[in-house]
Amino acid sequence: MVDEYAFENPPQSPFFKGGSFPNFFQLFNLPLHYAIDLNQLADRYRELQRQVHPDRFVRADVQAQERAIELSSQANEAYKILKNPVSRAIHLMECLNESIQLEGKKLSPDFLMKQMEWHEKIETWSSLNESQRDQLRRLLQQEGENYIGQLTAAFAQRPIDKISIEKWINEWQFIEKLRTDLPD
Amino acid sequence: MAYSEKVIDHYENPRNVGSLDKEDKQVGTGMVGAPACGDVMRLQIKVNDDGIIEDAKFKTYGCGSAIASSSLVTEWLKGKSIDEATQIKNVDIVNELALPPVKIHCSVLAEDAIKSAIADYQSKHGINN
Repeated sequence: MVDEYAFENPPQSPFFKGGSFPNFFQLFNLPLHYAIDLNQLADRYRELQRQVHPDRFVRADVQAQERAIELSSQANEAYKILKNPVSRAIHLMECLNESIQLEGKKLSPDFLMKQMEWHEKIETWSSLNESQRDQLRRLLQQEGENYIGQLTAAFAQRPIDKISIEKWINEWQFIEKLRTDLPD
Repeated sequence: MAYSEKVIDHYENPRNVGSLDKEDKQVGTGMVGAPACGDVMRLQIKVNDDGIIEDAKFKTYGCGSAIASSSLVTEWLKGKSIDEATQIKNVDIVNELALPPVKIHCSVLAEDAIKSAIADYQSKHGINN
């Protein structure tokens, strides 16, 4: 895959410099890019965890042991954030030094009305039959995929379409909440 | 984190849950949401010819504090004029429900819902803010 849309990474990773701001893309040696290869991410994650596994540090000094544990837990955190398409978008904006408003943002009444309808539908879950439940799951899945498409497109623009990105991220969080609210 | 008695009371016995006809000229509908927690709140007021809020209904999908905050404000809104309703501030809700700092945003959401419902009512009557 040619990374024509990848952003330039900062020359030095603050992560390894002990800086306060980690760049998780760089941690996994991935281009600063919204559309990432999830298989590659998983491979890099496993590789990093192998490198910092406590078993490899039993004879090392305490400092190195502690550093390995720290890296291991940061790798877990980083993997979780990059795997999820919403938190990945938020993190990418941080890496690009772009601030986005995630609270107190005005949402369109139509969008909120639709959220209400989703919730109302989910409330009737116990009275739905299996195919209706499947349909609801699929609809929410599709809704989520729409946002991946929108965000991928917005991040591919130069300069990036910041206003749309902010809007999609804010809206998408509601859909994610709905999906976690779905009974199994 | 422990919820206060008042939050639990509103959560277990929410007041004024339901909806009013949003097409009704006397009804103002406020819709707000908090992306960070995915909470959605609908607050509706019905204003009589004397400009007094005679009814208020809400429906909230969210945490206990968000439900309690919206339930509480529907109680407060009834019998108030529009002007008085705009005086309700999120700190009043925080104080009444003893909300902890992490739940202050729920009270902000309820205050925004009041403003949004009033704005909707006023726009139906040709008043723009």
